[in-house]
Amino acid sequence: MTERSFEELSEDIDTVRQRILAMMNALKTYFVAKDEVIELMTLATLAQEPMLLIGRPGTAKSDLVIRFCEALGVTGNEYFEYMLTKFTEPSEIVGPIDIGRLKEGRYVRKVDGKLPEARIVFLDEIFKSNSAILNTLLTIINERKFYQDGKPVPVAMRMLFAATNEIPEFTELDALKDRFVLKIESKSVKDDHFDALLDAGLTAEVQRAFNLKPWAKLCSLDDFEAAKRYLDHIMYRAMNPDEGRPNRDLYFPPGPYAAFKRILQTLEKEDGIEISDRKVVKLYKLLRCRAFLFHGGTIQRSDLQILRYIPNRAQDMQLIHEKVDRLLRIDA
Amino acid sequence: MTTQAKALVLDGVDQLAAWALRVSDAQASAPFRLFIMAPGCRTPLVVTGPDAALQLGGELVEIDLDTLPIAAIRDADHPAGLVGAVATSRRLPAEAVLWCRDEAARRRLIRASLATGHDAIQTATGTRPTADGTAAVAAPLLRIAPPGWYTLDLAHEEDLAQVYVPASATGSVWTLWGTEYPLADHVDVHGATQVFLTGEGPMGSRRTVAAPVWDDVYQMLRFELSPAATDESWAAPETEPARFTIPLRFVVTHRTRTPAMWILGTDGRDRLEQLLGSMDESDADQLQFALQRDAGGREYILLRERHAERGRQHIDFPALALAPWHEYQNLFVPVDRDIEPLLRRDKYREVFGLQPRRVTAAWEEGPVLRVVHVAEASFEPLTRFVDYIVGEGAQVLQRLAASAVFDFGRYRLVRRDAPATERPLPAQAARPSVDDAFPVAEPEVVHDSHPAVSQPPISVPKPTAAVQKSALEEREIELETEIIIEGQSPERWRMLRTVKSQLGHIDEAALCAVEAMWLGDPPASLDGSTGTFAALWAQTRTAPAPAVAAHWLTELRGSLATARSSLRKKERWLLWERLFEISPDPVGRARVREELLDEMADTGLRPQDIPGFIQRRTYETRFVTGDGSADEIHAAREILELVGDAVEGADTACITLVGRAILAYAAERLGDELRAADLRDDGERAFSAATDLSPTDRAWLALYMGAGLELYAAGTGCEWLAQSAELREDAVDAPLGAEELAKVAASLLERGAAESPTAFLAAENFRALYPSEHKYADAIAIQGDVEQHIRAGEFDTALALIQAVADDIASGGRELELRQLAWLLGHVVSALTRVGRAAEGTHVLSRFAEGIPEIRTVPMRARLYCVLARIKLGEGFLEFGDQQRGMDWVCDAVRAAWDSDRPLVWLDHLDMLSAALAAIESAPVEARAAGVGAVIEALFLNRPHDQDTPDYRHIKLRLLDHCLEVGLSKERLSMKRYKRYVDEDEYHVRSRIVRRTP
Repeated sequence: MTERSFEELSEDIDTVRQRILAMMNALKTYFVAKDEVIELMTLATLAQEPMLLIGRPGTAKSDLVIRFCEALGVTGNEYFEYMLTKFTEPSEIVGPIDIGRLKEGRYVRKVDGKLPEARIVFLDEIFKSNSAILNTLLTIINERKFYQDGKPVPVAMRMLFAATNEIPEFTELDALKDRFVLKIESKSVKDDHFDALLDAGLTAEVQRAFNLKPWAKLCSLDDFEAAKRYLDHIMYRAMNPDEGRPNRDLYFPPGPYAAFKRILQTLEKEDGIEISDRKVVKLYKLLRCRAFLFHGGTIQRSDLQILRYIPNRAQDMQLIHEKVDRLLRIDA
Repeated sequence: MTTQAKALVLDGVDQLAAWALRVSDAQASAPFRLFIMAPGCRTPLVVTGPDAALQLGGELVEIDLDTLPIAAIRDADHPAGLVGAVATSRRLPAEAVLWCRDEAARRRLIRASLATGHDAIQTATGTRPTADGTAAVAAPLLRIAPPGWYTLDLAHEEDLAQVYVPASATGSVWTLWGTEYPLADHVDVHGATQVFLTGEGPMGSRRTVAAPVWDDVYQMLRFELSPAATDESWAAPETEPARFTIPLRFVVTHRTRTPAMWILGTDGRDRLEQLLGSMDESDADQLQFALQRDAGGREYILLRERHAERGRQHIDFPALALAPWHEYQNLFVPVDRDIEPLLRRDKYREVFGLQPRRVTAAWEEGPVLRVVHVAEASFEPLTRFVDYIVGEGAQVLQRLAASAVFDFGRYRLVRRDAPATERPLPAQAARPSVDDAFPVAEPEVVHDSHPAVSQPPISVPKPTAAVQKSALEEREIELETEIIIEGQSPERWRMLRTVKSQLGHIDEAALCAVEAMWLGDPPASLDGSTGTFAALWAQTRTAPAPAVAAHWLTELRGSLATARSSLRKKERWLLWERLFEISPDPVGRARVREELLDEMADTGLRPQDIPGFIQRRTYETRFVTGDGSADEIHAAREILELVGDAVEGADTACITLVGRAILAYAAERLGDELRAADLRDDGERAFSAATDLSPTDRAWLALYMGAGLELYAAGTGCEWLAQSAELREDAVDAPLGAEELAKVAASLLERGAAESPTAFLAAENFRALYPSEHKYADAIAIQGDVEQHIRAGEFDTALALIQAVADDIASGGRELELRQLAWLLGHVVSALTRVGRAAEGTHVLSRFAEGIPEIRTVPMRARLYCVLARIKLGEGFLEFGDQQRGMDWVCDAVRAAWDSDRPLVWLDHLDMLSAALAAIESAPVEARAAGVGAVIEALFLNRPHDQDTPDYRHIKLRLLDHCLEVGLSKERLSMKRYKRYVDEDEYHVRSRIVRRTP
């Protein structure tokens, strides 16, 4: 996609935003009680921040990602999906070594149909991977590149979704866990929405049988990229050229800002939630994206609800979700 | 003099740690306080002078206060001013006091704190100076313990309040949140005041206030319902609400409970009768029975188990099975039904009308729920209503058998060299007809010397008459006997296979087919046989399709390996041969061959390699002549006659009667069943009629009657044995008899399992030579040396040692008392046979013999041992083949023992006879009669001064038994034949495997 200027983007950015919202709302109708997840997936894709889906088997994690990709028209090699195990080798993710070139002394991988070529990547059971995979993934997630013949090569990945049944406690995985700023549980819905689940499931089967995708083609991944680019421009322009510091107040008013800071500190001090510096910065970016997506501009107190999704441990999720909501209600 | 307090700040903690400080002061006598604060330390070090010194390190450092870079020197009374609050990171305190900006701010903070769940809030009012410091104004205070971060941060960031946290342990000094005051503990707080320190650095200020009076926040809060809320009270209606009627229902449950009661309908009686016919009485005892009639006159049988937890497996006919419900023992519901809804336990009593001493059962009959009450007293033990009888048909048959007369006129009883015992035959009566069977004709009473005495009758099973065999069965026996005696041949095996197939002995027929195949017959089908070999053989007969041949072969190999232990050696080889025909494998064939030959070399053919019917027939051919066993049979019968004559001629009724019972068993083993039956009849009559037999004697009679029957026809002697055990309890005339009886009973019944019954009996009887260390020390030492050499394989040395001892004794160079010599001789004989020097044995024993004195020359106390030594010598000679000499030594010793003016005492005499019998066993059967005769002669001596006590009588009986066993050792009679068969079979097996051709 060719880089568009701010002016070009500004012309139809609102239309782009509306298309994204339309896709999001359409997708919500085909899942039962997954609105929150779909909103977060949309936000994460906009911000191009990795997102982790947590849930027991059969809670629509894979289905959500697949339909999301279908909704964006991402097919073929643009989409890469893999289930990781402790035996998975990097070649299964990033491609096997090209033997022909290896004989020439070059360490080059064949990436056709593999992660480096995909724009959206879905890795299932990500915490079951071994350290070789972890090292490769961290580089890809952090730097959006991988090494071919010793040289860094950008990956096409724009969005990484990962899924897991549970978040393990191993400290070796802390770095990977921290890369996923947003983590959300995909819960079972049959207890509260049994009838709706059956209806939706039947509808899904029928749609699958007849290859119907009514949620598709409402927007594209290019729309997301355009919106992201637009926001990058906004943030760039918001920087105070004189002082070299961004004018944060412009899009992050003091009230929500103070609340943001306070809530983060409260979660850290009272509940022991680990919030790295990286996460703070990412959260700020996500807040900006959310504000743009849902109400087109300045961060509001309601945008701070994404703080629900920052815990690194599954057992903290419910607690933090409720606590953030409670804190947001103070002085609301 | 003013007290000076100086605070100094030193750079470098290392310095502080390494140096001790000694303070010198111009006014050294003045007290002072020195605060030492090092960067990074939170708490200052306080030194009080003049002579206190800091010992932090190994050295003392002099410091001149005047030259030190002191930050500030202030008034000593206010050291707090010297070092102020130090900035630090904000942490969540355990407690915080908030000086709120105003009331609105306080309210907001209270809301925030309550919203975040921190409601331990107290309020108070303090005063603070105005900005210009000229006046004091009221300040709302909050105290939160513990506070939430959100509230503190809100207060701090939005300037809603000044947040103070405890600075000292006393809780009286407070510092701003995010600062610390190291000297807080040294702040003097007087009375009920609180000090709030503000500002950082040495110039920070403080505020001293009276301790606030705190109130709980809830005292200033008022909670109210929203204006839209209603507040109303409801009342109960005047009439009581209608009750709900819930019918209990039975629902099917898949978890059936253990039944404890059954209800049978009109056909219950017949079924119950059938059941009782198959139930043990002890099981029937566990059931209770009740016959009940309902209102319509229909009868029901109720059965209830007395111990419900056992469950009942017997009642498998249709009946309504019920189980207790909900732990009630008097409420029964069907085992596959639950009552719903589940009630509280006490409710069932009310619903079902449960009462004490009444059983209630509830079940469904169609749509109707039937609840039945039965009085507890109706149930009685089932066995109270049962009469056990011997079947009517059996009674009729017994009467017929008792009245039947068998005409053996055309047969003549033949006994070789045995005086015919005149016994009156029963008077011949006209053969009764069936019509005459009722009433019963009383059997003729045989008059004997023992007057009839009414004794409690016991049911004695008659000796089973020989079952008439069919022609096929006879042919089967004939063929098996031919194979055993005349040898194996394919034709004989084929014929035997045909006969067995016709008789329906399919598995045995299959074994015959294998034997025939082994000897050269072509492979045959084994259809119908259920053995492992037949199943595998069938697999090898069907050729697999080429596509699956490899897999089929692999599977077959696996099956062969798995079934290895359950196949006979011939079967294994046949199967492998067939497999190698299908899939040639020379290496595999060689492996299997070596494996089988190794097994043959190791263990030879095991008993399971020999067909079971061959083993049985081998034993039963012991009376078949033609191969040299006739002499053995003759000798055994000779001994039987010797014992029989002795028994009949005994002057003690006990010996005669019990002896006959012993003879009966021996006669049966010699095939003389008729004689055995006669002897048993005598025993039975004597048991029933004899009055001069003591209870102990009768117990012995019953014992031998029963033991003989048990040994020969298992299961038929238990009545006698039971009677013997009962009589034993009454054996008061001879205390030892009772104990001895029990031991003998056990030993008799074990006889069948003993490899050598005579050795078993000998061990029981022979009690004389029990070596003890101090009495047999020399003999034990010699035997120990010999044994050592034998174990080391030094057979020549062992032999030389024995020879040397014999020479020493013969020459008088070594004196060994007779007791020890007798003991040693037994081991010498054993040692000589073990070292394989039987040839030199006779010579060695002759040398020993020279050292044994004549019996009559030996003192009384040693006479027994002299006799025993001679007997042992005789045994040795017999063992080494010098039969004549050996038997002479034994018989002479026996006769010399009793034929003297000072015979042995009875017990010694009996011990001597027991040793003689053991020695006689070393002779071939056909040569034993002479020795047994000598023993019997000695056994039935009429020694006037001897005591004829029950103990001696019983020991005599056991010795008589031993005499008979000496003639009847089964291994002599049939084992030889069996061993010959096995040898021949091993030859066949080896030859085929080695030569690879039949």
